Amino acid sequence: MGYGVMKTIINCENGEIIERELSAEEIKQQTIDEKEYAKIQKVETDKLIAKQSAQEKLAALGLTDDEVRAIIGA
Amino acid sequence: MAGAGYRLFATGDVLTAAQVNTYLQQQTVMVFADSSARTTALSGVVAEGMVSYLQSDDTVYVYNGSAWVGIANSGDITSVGVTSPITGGGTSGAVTIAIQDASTAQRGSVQLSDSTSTTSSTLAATSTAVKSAYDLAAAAIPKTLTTTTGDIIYASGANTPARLGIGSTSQVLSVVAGVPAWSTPASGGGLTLISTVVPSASSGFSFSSISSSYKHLLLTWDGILHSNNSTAFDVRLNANSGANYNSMVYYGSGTSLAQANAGGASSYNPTVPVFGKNVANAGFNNTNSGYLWLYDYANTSYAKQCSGAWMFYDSSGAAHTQIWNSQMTFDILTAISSIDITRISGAGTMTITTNGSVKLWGMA
Repeated sequence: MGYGVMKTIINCENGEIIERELSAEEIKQQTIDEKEYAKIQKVETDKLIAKQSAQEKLAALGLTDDEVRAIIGA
Repeated sequence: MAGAGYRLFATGDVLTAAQVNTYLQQQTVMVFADSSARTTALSGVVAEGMVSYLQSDDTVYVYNGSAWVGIANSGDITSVGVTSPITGGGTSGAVTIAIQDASTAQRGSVQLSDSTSTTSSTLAATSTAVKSAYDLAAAAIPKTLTTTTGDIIYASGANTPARLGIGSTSQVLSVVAGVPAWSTPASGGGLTLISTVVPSASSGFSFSSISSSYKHLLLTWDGILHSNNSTAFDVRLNANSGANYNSMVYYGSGTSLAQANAGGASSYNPTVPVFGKNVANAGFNNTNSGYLWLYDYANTSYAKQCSGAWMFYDSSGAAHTQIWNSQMTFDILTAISSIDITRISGAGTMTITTNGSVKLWGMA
């Protein structure tokens, strides 16, 4: 059963190189990876948004840029 | 009577029968006992054209104006025969003979040459040429100096060739006391290139059946380029997709420095996050290059420690170089026998720019 995505296997013992399609299990794992990775990316994006928001709020309170960085980091 | 010799008659002389017989008839050919008698008799009157016969050798002589020449045996050569390489010859008249030129197919006369560089097949080498060639040969290194496959010739002194026998497997050529010598390298520390991959539009690849004979593994890569920003590649060990990759990552992005634990920025826990995301700007200085050490990867008693660093230019729009440094444990007790470079996001591919590659090394 083909999934259209190819993978190269390099056998380090005998130098043999095999080009084959991903197995069903590998396709399934790739789907999981994709979802989990997206979650992590969203967490990171949310962190950046929250950081930006915090910076803006602190600035609105009258803190200088150096004071803001001292509180939340660079 | 024959042998009376010569008489000069004067005008008015009346010849007697005896004189005619003796001096004319009997001496058409003057006969002498020997050459001394002839010389004595003809002293003062000998003239060219006189003919004599010597009894001492029974030979007829003709006086040629300066000497008596025997004619008894003249003309006994009747033919001049020749065989190759002599040409010519004959059986009468003036006979001419010659020697034909020699060639590789014909004996004959050859021209000598002092040359030691000619390729002629008709010239013959002189002793001068032979000596020049001999001197060169005598100064050459004899092939018998080597006796075994792999032997090396070196100079043990000025103009002194010597043989260095083949060393043993894995020995290296070094210098000992000023001359080459095979020596066994100190054990440990050497890197062996296990495999090289140059991905082109690759969706992923794997180093499999990795030998356990090394102490550490080192994965190096340079020039990695993704086909788009949404694609990310990571490293997975032994195809293990469990949450067994505990990493601490420090990364610099632009002017900021950040830190993330497993599950943090781009460090998806079931992988080693080394091949990154947003690596889609062409140009070698924008691509992903780095390394990852896998320490004591073959042990089966405890988790594996890994460390690595890599950098690339973020092509997502942030437009700055990212520098990553990661320390990680792989919490599995089995030996690492395969390394997958696997796509964990997107549908893009990985390509290596000019001169780049992904290499797996083993450290003894």
